Parts: sequence; structure tokens; C-alpha cells
Amino acid sequence: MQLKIRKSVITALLSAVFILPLTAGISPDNAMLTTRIRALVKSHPSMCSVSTVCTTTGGTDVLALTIGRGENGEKPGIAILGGIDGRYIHSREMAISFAEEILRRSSEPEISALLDKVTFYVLPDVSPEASAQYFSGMKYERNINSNSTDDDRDFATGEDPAEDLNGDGMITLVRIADPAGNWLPSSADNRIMVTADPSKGEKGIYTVISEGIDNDGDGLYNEDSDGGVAFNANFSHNYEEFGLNTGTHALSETETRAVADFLYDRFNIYMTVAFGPQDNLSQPLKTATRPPQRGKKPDGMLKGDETVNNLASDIWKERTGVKGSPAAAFTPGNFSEWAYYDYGRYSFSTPGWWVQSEKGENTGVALLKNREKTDDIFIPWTPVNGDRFEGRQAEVGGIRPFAATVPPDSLMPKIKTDNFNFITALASYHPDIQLTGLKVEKADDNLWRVTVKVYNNGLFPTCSEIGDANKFVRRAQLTIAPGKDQILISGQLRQALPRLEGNRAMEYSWLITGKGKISIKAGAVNCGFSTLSAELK
Amino acid sequence: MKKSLYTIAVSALILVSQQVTAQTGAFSYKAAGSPAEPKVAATWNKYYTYEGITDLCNRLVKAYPGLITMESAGKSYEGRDMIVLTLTDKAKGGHTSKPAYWVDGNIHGNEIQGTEMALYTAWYLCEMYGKNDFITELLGEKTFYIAPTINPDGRAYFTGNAGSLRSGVVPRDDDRDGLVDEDGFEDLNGDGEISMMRRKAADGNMKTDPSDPRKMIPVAPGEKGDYETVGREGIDNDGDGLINEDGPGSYDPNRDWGYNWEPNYVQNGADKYPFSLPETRAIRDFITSHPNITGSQSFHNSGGMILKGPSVEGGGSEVYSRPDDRVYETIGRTGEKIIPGYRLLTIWKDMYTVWGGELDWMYGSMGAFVYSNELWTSYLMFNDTTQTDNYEFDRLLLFEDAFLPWEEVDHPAYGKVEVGGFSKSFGRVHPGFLLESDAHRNMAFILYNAWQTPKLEVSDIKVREIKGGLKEITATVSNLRMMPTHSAQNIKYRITPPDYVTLEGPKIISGMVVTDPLNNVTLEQKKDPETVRIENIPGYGKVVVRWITRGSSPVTVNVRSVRGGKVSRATD
Repeated sequence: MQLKIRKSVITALLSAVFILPLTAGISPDNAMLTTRIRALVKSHPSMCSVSTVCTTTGGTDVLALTIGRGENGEKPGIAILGGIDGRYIHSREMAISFAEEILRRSSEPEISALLDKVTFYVLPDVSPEASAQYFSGMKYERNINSNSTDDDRDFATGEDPAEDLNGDGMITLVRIADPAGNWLPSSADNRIMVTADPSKGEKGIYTVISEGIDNDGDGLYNEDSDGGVAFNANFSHNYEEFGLNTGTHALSETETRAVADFLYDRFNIYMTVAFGPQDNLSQPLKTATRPPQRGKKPDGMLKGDETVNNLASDIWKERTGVKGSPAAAFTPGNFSEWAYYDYGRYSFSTPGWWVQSEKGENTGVALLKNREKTDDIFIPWTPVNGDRFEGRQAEVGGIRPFAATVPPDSLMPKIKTDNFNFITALASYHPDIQLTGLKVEKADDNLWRVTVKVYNNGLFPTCSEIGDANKFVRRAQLTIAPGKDQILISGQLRQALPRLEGNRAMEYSWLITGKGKISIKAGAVNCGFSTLSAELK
Repeated sequence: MKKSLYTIAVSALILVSQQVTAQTGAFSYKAAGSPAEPKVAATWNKYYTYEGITDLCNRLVKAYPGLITMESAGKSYEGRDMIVLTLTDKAKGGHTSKPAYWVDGNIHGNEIQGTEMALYTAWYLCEMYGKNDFITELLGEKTFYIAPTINPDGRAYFTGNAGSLRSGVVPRDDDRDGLVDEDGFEDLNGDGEISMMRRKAADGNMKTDPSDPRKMIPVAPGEKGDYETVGREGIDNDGDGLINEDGPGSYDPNRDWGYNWEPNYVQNGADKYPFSLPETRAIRDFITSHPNITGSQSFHNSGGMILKGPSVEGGGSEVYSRPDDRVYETIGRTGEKIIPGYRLLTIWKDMYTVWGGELDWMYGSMGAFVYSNELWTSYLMFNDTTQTDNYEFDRLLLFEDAFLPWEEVDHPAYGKVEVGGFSKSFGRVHPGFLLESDAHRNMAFILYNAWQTPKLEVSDIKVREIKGGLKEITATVSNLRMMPTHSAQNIKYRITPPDYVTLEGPKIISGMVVTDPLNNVTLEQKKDPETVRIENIPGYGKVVVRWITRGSSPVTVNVRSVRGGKVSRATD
């Protein structure tokens, strides 16, 4: 007996010492994150400020850093978001470390030039109530906020949450012996439960549920948890009405609305980068089969936005060296597609890390194969009291929460550096309006023709093609200010410029009578401004 | 003795009514269907300003405290209260315990007469209560939530400025140039109206009508005109070569609702996201916190239409079910009878696609039966579908009161122009003398709708002895009206709770729904058998509920339905 105890203690110690714990050091908790945000503002007051985007229902602040030099609202901006899905907890670290790194290296010439030309808005965690679960005494993969919702639409809220039956501080699975169940152990790895395939002559022997009991006696387990609405399912593109955890309508939540308002208020933002489940970097998006039209949304990325997506994808693959792609999941109401389709900006998203599985391979089996050498990610099936399951034999076990979504600690430095390099490289191609080739010709006595080229010095167009039709995307303007004794004979005082591709120029001219100084201004906050002046004499 | 008391009572009643007649007789004689001597003075041949609306509502509340309350659902962008009136016979139960009908008007700032339809309804219900049996019964059984204007800023802009807006006044950069609301209309001739501009042109494509010089008509091919039209009154304020392209507001409050919402390049007028506007958010919050709202009317103009959804082809998840469709069709056809010149139409099919409309949200998210009437039709001018000439109507019936005579002014870009045309008070909104008549008809349609919301009764309770001292108690709950307690959308997405039928009295062993009374097929409800949950009580239909009990009578059957009200019945 004594020996037995000693043995289990040793096993526990062994796992604690020699196997990397999954959670340590990978990401700061909410208090630590706030401390790091405030520290940046303190250490770089001239280049970095913080604002509160909103306070969640549960009382946590969502913070945003503004990083850049000069008039930040008057130059192209990039929004970088972490925490759009609480299960991807490392996304917070990717976002905050970007802010730390760019400020740390702000005196390097290339970074310094970027900070002069571009404004970075970093929102390390947009759904802190979901993320908080990772740091709590009871870990489970949570992507919902703390709003009270009726997930199973039985007119009671939060009445059947999960329970930690084996007291290990995690919610995993319960398998219950059940001749009428439709689960059985996988032939590839018998720890992983898979559904029986009757066409292969298989019969299930277990019922598998998430860890917990049927609190409300409706025959369902954990179907109405504590909370809430998923940030990354509450946006308006392909929004799912009456979906699970999608909210009462698109952008119904404090966090989603506040983040959208934060972005909408900053007309200079031309691109968003979100760290979360969606991926359009390892593999660019497919293009639409039909052009956008009134009354019908496009069914894919517009052709005119393909170049930039390809550019971004190539840079990302080159910087990270990652091959293959995660199982693409553009789930309804996600942030990344909203930022493109509804907000009208270039939108990029990556989980940063994922486990590769072979074609047809069970993801759980693939996960164990890939991670088990370094990380203790499987909780062995252990019997629990079957009284709550009609006296059947019941065992708790399964893959640790977050093992499938959060990378090992050891990989984080590289993930952070690669993605920092990706964003800064991509940012250097920002839209950049320049006035060039100013020509003043005397057309006649007291009459001048002024000609100028508007040039986009960047590789990004002045706006995305999808945003070109969107009222909430600024159009670059070309204005001329003649002196008080001058009259425009031809040309407009102000005109909207058409969308200008990268490395392209357009020519404009005016006929003006009267001597004196004229000044010309081109651009918009999302593609930068350029001014020139000339003397008509 | 009994007989003589009765006689005295009747004589007293006659005496009282004679006195009333004698008192009022000097000044008026009651017209059928209208209050002769209303306690709250109101006229229905003019439009109320926001201040006028507030005043009328205050006076109604003061005069009829037992029937009406007034509250603010929130503030508009400019800080006006979003007034909502609650009407019900308070002595016969609180407003939340009865099926309710929602009415709103003026969601579009320039569609002002919906407010008068809504106000007339509130006023009429108050004034006719106790004088007309139908109205008295209706206020006893139902609740009305009436929001006279859900775009008070747009209304104040219409009544207080020269121009008019479909939108509200939340600033938006319509032309995306970084300047906000910098190029709106200008009243060039200072007559208090934004009208049309025309310019003399030797090769113009328009000429004045020889039979009516007010009217501009296009020239025939090859013919030379003497005018060209040059848009609505205004100048190019920002030098971009465009006139009036970025005035106050500009978005569509009826594309701001959180069901089937799409962004502005798909749906013109959509704002940033569903419920971007403070006004729609306030109304959303009021409606969602009053789940007893079973039906609704949202007044627009114009065209003489009784609109029903869906507003999107295929309709997404809000494709109406056959039973719901029958309700929509039957009530709508009755509406065509009540309001001559108005036609029942389906929005996506007969008009155009609308994403994010209020109507679809009311059905889609709330599961209510909803119509939207497009008020005013040219038919009403001469009660004729072929005689619809605005100029002739204005000449013969309005004595040219609706026309602003052409007047010459200097325009900075166009030179000499003439400004004139129809006033904004005519064309989309009712002329004064037709306003009351159409308000009454549209109200009658509302009242018909409200009357058709569910009315439940426990129509039968049967008690049968079973061997061994057990009893079988079978109750029938009937719905005496056309609307079900749950629309198909409500059933599908469980928007409001089921109807609860509870047995009180004996010890309950089991509860069940009799799914097929004819063949006695039952479905037992194992959990909480004393309260049997019913998914829906169909219009003009019934459900049968049964309990197996032990113990003695009497028993009471209570029915609780969010959209069907509360009823109960006891055995002797």
C-alpha cells in the first residue's frame, strides 16, 4: 500500500519535472497582460499610447495600443488583434510581443521609417472573458464571454455547465459504456474515441460526452454552459441567426461592437491582421465567381484583391517556413471575413501554429503522434462514479484542453519572431500616395496649365477592391487651392480619385488664370497625403 | 319589488343619456364611429411636430390614466425621447399579461404620416373606450404598444427645416471625401422649402405644359424645348462638381435591423452593422423586453400597399409556413377591404429585396405577425386608379395650395434658374382633408389585427374515474382567434416559451398531451407533470391535455401563454 502511494507520487513528480507543462510561460494572464501594455506606454511615451476599447460585462477592460510617430490618424494604419477566439490563447502573446518588439527596435532604420509612415493599432485580447478560462482553476477551451445566454433555448440560462468530475482542474471527456452508444476506440490509437462506421461493420460501445453531468435532467450533458457569446461568431458576414453562442444578432455584444467601432472610427486603417482560427496566409483565399452586385454578396474574395493576398501569403510562407495549411474553417460570423467583406479592408489571419495531419487521419490521433514526445497532453481514461450515468461504467479522460490549438512553449519564440517579420515586411508595401511630375506651362497670356501625376508608391492599392464600393472606406481626394486672385478655368477644386493600384500613376491638369501661388494636395488617411505647390508667374 | 327597482334603474339610465344628448346637442351630433365630444381635443387634418406629439400624448395620459401610460424607450441621436405609449384596460390586467400589438410610424424621416395613424389609434382607443363595446372589450383583452415616431430627429428635421430626409441625422460622410455633411440642400429663394430647379435652355428637353404652366413635360422626339431641369435646390458647397451629395445623415434606418443584415455595398442604406443607430437600438430593447408582442404594424409611405415579408427571395430561415401564410393572406385581404386602394403585396416578390429591414427582424427574430403599410396612394385623389394627376387634384381640391410657384433666383454655377414645384407636404404625404379618413381606415386594420391575436379559453374539463381511485382529468384549451400562440418561426427557434397548462387541486401522478383526441393517442410529459408544456395553440384550434390524479375535486386548470394571455377554469 505504502509502495503504491509512493509510486503514484513519483509518477506525478516525474510528469511535473520532466514533461513540459503545457501552460507555463506561453501567455500572460489578464493582469500580466495589462501590466505589459502599461509598461510599453511608460517606456515609449512619444510613440505609444493606450486606450480602453470597452469594459466587458464582467468588468475586464479591452485595451488598444496605438503605435507610431507623428499624426497617427493621418497615415495608413494596420490593426493587429489577438484573442479573437479564447481557445487560441497564444494569439495574445503574438499580438503583445509584436508591440513590444517594434518599440524595442524602433531606432533601427527600417523599423523607424515604418513607424513614421504607418500607424499600428494593437489589441492584444479582444475577448478577455473567454481567455480568462485558461488561467482559471478549471480549464476548458472557452471562446464565449460571460453574458448570460440560453444555449439550448429551454428558457433557462446557464443551467447545465460542465463539471470537473475527476477533480484534475480540467474539462475533458467522459466515456460511458453503452451498448447503444456510437463511439469506439480508434484502431490507430485506442485512447482516441471515434464514431462507429456501420458501413465498415463497426458497432459503438461507448457514449462520449464532455465532462459533466445532466444538471437539468433533460437528457443532455453540458448543453447550456456558464455564458455566453463567441466573439468570433458574432460578426455580420455569413452570420448564423439563432446559432449556438452566436448572440441575439450580429454584433450584439459589447466586445464585438466596441472593436468594430474602434476600427470604424479609424478611417486610416487599410489592413487588419488577426491571430485566431482562420487562415488565409498559408493558402490564399479563392476568388469570387461573380462580381459584387447590389442585393447579393460576393461568394469569395474579389479578383482585384488577389494580388495582395498572394503577396501576403508568399511573405508569410517565406518568413515562417511553414508548409501545408490547417483545415480551413471559415465559420459563420468570424472576424477575419467580416474585416474583409463588411469592413472593406485587407484582412489577414493565421492561427500561427497547428498540427499537421495526414489526409483522412483523425486529428486526435495526429495530435498525439506529433506532440506526445515532448508534452504530456493525454489524460488517461480513469473510472469515475457511474451513479450519475445510470450506474454504467464511466471513465474520464482525453486530450488536455488547448493541446490542439496552443503551440508548445518551445515553439513560441520562433512563432513570435516569424510573425513579427511577416507583418513588418508586409507593412512596408503600404499604400503611399505621392504627387510627382509637377509641370506648369504658360498656355497663354495670364493663363497657365498645371499638370501633376498622382503616384502610388506602395504595392497595396489605395484601397481594397471590396472596399472601393463600401461607404465606410475613404476615397483618396485631389484638391487644388488657388490664390484669391486666381480662377480655375478647367478642372475641379476637389475630386475623388479612382482606386489606384500599387506602383501606378494617373495624370491630372487644371487651367488657371491669375498669377500667384497654388497648392495641390492628394491622398486620404488610408493611403497617406502628399502636397506640392507652385508659383504661376 | 325587483321589477320596480329594475324600472327605476332603467329610467335613471335613460334620463342620464337624455341629459348628455341635451348637453351636447347644442353644438354637435354624434357621427357614427367617431367620438362626438372627445375629452382630449385633437384634429386630424394637420401634422404634429415632435413637441405636438409630446403634448398630445401627455394630454391623453392625463385624461385616461386607467388606459394609457407613456414612457421613453431611449434617446435619439439629438437627445429626443423615443416615446412609447402603452394602452390597455388596466383594471382588467397588466399590459404584459395580454397579447400585444406593436405600432410604429415615421421610421423614414420624410414618411411622416405614420405618426398620425399611430396617434389617431391611441386617441381613438381612449375616446371610444366605454362608449363602444368592441373597443372596450379589445382594451380589456389586448395591449397596444404605440411608438408614434421612431425617427424623431428625422421628423423634427422635416417639420423644422426646408428639406426632408429619409435618414435620421447621425453625421455620415456620404461621398467618402473625409468631410462630413458638408454639402446639403440650400433654400435658394428662401420660401422654406427645398424644391426643384429648372433653367431656361434653347435646346432643353422639357417644356411647360400648354394646359397648365406649372407643369413641366418632356418634349417629343425632334421637338425643341425651352427648359432643362437641374436637380433639387442647392449649390456645390465643397467644389467637387456635385450638388447636395453629402447632406445631414444619410443612411436608411430600415436597413439597420439585426436579421438578414448585409453591408452597404450589398444593401444601400445599411450602416456599420445591425443596430448601429441609437433609435433602432432603443426600439429593439423595448420590443425584446415585451415578448407578448404578437403582431405589429410599421407605417411607411407611399403607394397604398399592405406589405408582408419575406423581403429576401427564399427568405433564408424566415420562409413562412403554410398556416402562417394563411393568417397573413386572410388578414391582408381583409385589409384590402378596409382600406380601398391598398393592395396586399410580398416585399421581395412585388417590390424589391430588403436586407436588414424592421419587418424581417420582427418576424425573424421575434416571431411576430407583421405588416407594413405604405400610406397614401394617388388612387385616393379621385377614388380612381386612372385619374391620378397631381396638378389637377391640386387645382380642383387644394386650390393650388400644394404648389410652389416657379421663382427666378441666381445660382452660383447655373446662372439664372427658376425654383419651384410641389411642396414636400404633397406627393408622399396626405393632404389634410384625407388624413383623418385614411388614419381611421389604417387604424381599423390595426384593430382587426389586434383582435385576431390569440384569445384562449379552457373550453372543457372532463373528469373520469379510473379503477383503484385514480382519476383522469382532460382539459381542452381553445384559441378563439386566427393567430396561433406561436408562429412557425417562433416554434422553430423557440423564441417565446411554450404555453403552460397547469392543473391545481389533486395529487398529480402523470401529465400528458392528447396528440390525437379522436383515437386517444397521448404523449406523456415525465418532468413536472402538473404543468404540461404545449408547443403551440393554433389559430381557431384547440389542444387537449390530460392528467392522471389521485384525490378529490374540485380542480382548476390554469393556462399561461406569453402571446395568448392567461385564463383559468375550475370545476364545481
